[in-house]
Amino acid sequence: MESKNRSNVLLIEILIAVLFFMLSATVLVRVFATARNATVRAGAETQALAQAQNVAEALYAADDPDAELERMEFIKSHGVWTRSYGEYSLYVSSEALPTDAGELWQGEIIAFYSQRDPSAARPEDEELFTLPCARYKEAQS
Amino acid sequence: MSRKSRISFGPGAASLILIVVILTMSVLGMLALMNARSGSRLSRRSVQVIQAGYALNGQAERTLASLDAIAARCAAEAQSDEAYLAAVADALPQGAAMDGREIVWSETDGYRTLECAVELLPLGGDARLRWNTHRLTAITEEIWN
Repeated sequence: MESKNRSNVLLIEILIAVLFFMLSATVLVRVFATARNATVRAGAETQALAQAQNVAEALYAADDPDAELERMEFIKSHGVWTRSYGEYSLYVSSEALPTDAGELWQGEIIAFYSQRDPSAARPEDEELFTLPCARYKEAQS
Repeated sequence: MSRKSRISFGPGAASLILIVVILTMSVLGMLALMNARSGSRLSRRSVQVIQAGYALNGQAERTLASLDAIAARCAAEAQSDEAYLAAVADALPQGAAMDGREIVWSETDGYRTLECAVELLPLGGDARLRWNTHRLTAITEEIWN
């Protein structure tokens, strides 16, 4: 009789422990998932920044920015040059403004993070940063 | 006479193991979260620093455009190289100064300063201005604190 009572107590304790473990695991899995997402996002942001700087410097050195973007495998759509790098995408928009004695080329490089959230109905892009760039080219006298 | 040792799983053991596992997992989760947060903060800070540098660069290019317009106007009117230099020195905008053939100015956003200098090329050449200095200085304590 005493042995049977002991077994029942043990069974109830294990059931409560399993229930508590499941509740705790639910919270902890969310914590680990949040940490992983934040790490992946930070990594993508760092890579996107390095790539955006690379593009900005190439455009600064180029005589023809459009030709340089095409060489870097950007695709022009609705006046904006875009290229996807997997976890992030770069959008380049630019305009050439004539000045009194030359031409001022101004551009913006916008980086977007492509979220891979399975709970989202469709993948959404989140803006990471915008890098402004400009270059003045004087007209030959 | 042999004695067999028997491992018994009595009441309390499951709760004890559970507490140890949950505590360990919680500590690991917190460490992972703190690591991710500091990584995010670092990348955000890098973005801010680089953005500020490029914004100052853009301002410097716009100032260069206005200086080149002045140089072009003075070059059209000047009869000699000396007269050209004097006319440019007189027409310089506020914040820019002439040092020999060099025009110096600085762009600032409060925390960082971009010191710029361009050389005024001799009259009659194809180009009017040439970049000489592009030096970015930052007050690091102001930025990081």
